[in-house]
Amino acid sequence: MGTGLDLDLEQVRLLLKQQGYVIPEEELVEVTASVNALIEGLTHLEGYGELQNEPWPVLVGYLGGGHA
Amino acid sequence: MLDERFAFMSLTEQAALIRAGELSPVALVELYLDRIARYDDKIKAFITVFADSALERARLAEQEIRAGDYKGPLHGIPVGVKDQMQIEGKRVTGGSKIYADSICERDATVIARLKAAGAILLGTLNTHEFHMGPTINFPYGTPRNPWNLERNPGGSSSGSATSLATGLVSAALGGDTGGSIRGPSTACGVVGFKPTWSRVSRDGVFPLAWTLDCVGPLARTVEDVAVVLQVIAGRDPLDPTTSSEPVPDYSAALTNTSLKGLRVGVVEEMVKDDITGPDAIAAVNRALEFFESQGAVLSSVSLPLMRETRFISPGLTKPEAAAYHRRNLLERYMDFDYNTRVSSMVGAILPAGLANLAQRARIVIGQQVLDALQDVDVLVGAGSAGGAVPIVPRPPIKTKQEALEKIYGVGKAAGQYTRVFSLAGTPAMVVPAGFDHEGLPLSLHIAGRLFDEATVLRVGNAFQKATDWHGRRPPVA
Repeated sequence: MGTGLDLDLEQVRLLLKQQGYVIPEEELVEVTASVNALIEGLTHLEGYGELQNEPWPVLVGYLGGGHA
Repeated sequence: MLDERFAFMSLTEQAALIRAGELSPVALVELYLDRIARYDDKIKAFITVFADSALERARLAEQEIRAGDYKGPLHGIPVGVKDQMQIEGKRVTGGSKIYADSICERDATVIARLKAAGAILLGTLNTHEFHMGPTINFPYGTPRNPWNLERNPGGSSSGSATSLATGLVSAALGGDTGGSIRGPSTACGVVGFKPTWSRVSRDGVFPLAWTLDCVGPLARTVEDVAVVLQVIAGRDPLDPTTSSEPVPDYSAALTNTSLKGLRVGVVEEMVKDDITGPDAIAAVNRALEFFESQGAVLSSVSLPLMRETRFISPGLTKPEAAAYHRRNLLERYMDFDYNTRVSSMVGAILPAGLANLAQRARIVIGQQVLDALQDVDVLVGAGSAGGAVPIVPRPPIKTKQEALEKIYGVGKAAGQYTRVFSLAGTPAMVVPAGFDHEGLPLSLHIAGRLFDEATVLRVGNAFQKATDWHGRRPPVA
């Protein structure tokens, strides 16, 4: 994570194909743009040191059945 | 036919008249069915209308009430439900062509609870496909905002908000994963409530992302929201994620209208003028003046990761949705809406390490909210950047930069104001708080501690009792 490199169309096509998806070319362009944007945005979060705190709960404050 | 004013009356007022025998549930259903026939073609709030069964249930309710078997304030009250919750014998589509012919075999728990309380189901309400949004081509008609038909009513619980604003139902259920109740409620000028995650059962409810999904009520008043929440909240053996935290008497909590000593935290990021417009800021400031005048103590609070929810939330929802819909995506890909297809494909290939990072970020921002709520009773801010945005075509996105601006941008999306409390799991509500310079509704956003829905409702009710924003009608109705 955090290399700053973007996936290209062929790499995205292959990743999708690996999961059984073959999608129209126009959509492949948007999927590529969108996944690269999301990767960039999430990678940026690595800069928040707090995210390295361990252990972390599954959900904040969740009081599941039988706990309350 | 009943006078039109009954269509906009609060559920609580309707219930009092029904109980006293001064308002007939049959006449009320007939009024709403007539209005649906007149107005729904303009706003496309409904996907399916249950005219026959609604009238049948209304006649039954009338007989029961006359016989002294009054079940409570929802008895004989016509409600609409987002086309997301299973209803026995009815078509429920999730707003998708995929389930266009799907008839449900049983009721979702929330539907069973509404029925047991005597509510009358008027029909299912329009939604973005599988509650994901923004849907490009709505298979059951494009929902429109009754305050201006060229404006977006918000989503995904679009029909839940527009039907209320147009006077087509007494109350509605919606679903909220990142703001899908609160966004449309703000845009349409009604009250929308997202309960604490796990407070209300999701059994029989189409998911978007189980770790975030909530079912909640929409209504014209906070009192009405409290009545509906009372019926649907609480532990459900059919949903193992529901909490057994006791459910208090929400309506009783509203009787305390004093705000003296209430500690109100104003979330800086929800009133900053970098994205929040002057009209929305003015609406919040008016509310703050009211709180102060009632003896509340204001302070400023910062949620530093709030703007990053534009990445954190899709980092969670897209992979969850892709996993849930995988079979249909493999077998019927082109039957999904364009946006659902693209979003799901992004979720399918998002690196696992980043999806995991989003989970960790969720915990951190959730903790920021809970920490802030250690020192204050409620957090408040704007419900949106401004009035409803225009309905515009959305051309395909071709570059990462375009995606960063149009899909994940800070922009004007209501999600910038709502997602933070979804990620934290806390209860949150929007209450009408004014109008912008174009006459479009604005809201005040109020969030509280986990399972403290009562305080959120109490504060919202006190504010609503002192204002009349919720009493105005949109031009279309």
